[in-house]
Amino acid sequence: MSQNDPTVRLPLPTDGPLDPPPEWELLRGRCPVATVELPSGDTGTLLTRYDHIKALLSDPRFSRPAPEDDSARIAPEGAGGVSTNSGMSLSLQSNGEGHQRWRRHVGKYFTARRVTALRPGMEEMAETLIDAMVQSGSPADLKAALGFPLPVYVICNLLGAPAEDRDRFSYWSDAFLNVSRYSVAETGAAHEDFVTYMSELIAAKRAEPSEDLISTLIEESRAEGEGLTDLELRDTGMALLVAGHETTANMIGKMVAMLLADRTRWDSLLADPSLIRTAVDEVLRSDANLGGYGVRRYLTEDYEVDGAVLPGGTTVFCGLSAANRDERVFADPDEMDLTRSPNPHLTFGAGAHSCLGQSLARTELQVVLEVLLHKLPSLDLAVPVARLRQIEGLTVGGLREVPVRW
Amino acid sequence: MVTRPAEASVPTDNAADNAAEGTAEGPIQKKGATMKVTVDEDKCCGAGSCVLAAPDVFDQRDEDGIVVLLDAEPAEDQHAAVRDAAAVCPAAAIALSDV
Repeated sequence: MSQNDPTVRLPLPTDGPLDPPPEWELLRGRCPVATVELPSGDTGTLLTRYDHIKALLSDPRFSRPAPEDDSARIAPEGAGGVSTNSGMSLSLQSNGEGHQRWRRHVGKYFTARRVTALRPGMEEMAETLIDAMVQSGSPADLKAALGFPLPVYVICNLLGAPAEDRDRFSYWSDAFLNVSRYSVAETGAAHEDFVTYMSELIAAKRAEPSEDLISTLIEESRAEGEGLTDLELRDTGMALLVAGHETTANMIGKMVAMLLADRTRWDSLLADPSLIRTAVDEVLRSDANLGGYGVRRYLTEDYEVDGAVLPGGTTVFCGLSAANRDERVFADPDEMDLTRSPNPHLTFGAGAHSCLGQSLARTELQVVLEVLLHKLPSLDLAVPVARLRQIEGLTVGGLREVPVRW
Repeated sequence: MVTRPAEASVPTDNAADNAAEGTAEGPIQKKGATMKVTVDEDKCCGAGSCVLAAPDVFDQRDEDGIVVLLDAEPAEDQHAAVRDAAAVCPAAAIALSDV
């Protein structure tokens, strides 16, 4: 345990925009179960070793904090968005049979086969966006030109939401993930607008159904009588819209930055595009900007880890990216090896709550990389790596922009 | 350079075998080596990682995304992909054993 160690404050600082915090290695080695202080002043426990995190995430007894839990707050003064403030939680059941029912109901729209069927559309969209970026001239911000719009189009198509509304989604999504960027009033107002928008979208689908996910979920709920409730439907739409674009948009930008930060990586992919699949997972493993807080678990009962007992009521922060560099599991963990296989990284979590959209995310990242390598082999960063700027004040991490030239 | 995660990271029954057989190019296959695959539907979270890794051996049910085992004793040319699928399964729902 860590009673005698100085308290660690989240988020941990890094030396460079793509670098891992140096504390990760120290924590894994000397203090794998550490007491941490959040921006709110509350304290929790941070895990950084692979085996500890995988075991906790796979434990069916625990899940993310629910509104009734007395969990550690991330954001100060109640400003946190839905993702950080359990008081604004969605209606979706976070554990047990209720969660499994929801998961299997929605999960069927994200199977590998369904996602693979979306591939040609993704390729076409990536080509269109890259053409537009080239048209506007070098240098350009790859995140704004490609990283952000592509996943928005994909998830909007899937859900049946109009992609023209993407700037509003982006704002609502940031508010949803807020720690300190927006005020209490701004976060609350954004949430209300988002709720109204989704309720109206569902009403419109009810009146005029089409082939999309929301229409299908509505139809199933009507027919079987055991589909999702109206509230679950609305919150599912909101959750998928946020989850479907924010993380992937950030990851596209980070992926390109990480691969171009050392030109030999890009060159090896140009020489052998068959490495794209393993390269994408290695990017996911190596990403040190996943967000400063990791994935949370609320302990509803005592839990033993590393020979110590964490009392019930503890909020545990699972440092997925720290675990992805655990030298006990990954050889040369700080080296990006684009051929690494198998690559059982924890970027999508583990267990019953692991990312529902991971096949979709993997496929989007593979498509973007494939099309970029093909269309813009001369792509390069337009600024030195040290001048890339990290996103701050949200639970998700990423780069604010990714300036490139070709 | 190809690296392999340490034995502990491979959540399969034959992790020790993998480590013993493993080389830079993946496991060395003994002539006629057979592999038996089992899946745990209750554990499966429908992420589809196995289908992306080994589409000839795994699929998912249309109605809920749960894993479907297409081939419980895959041919040798599939073994590397199946080991990959087992290792990356987020729910540790795929078990491998030698027959």
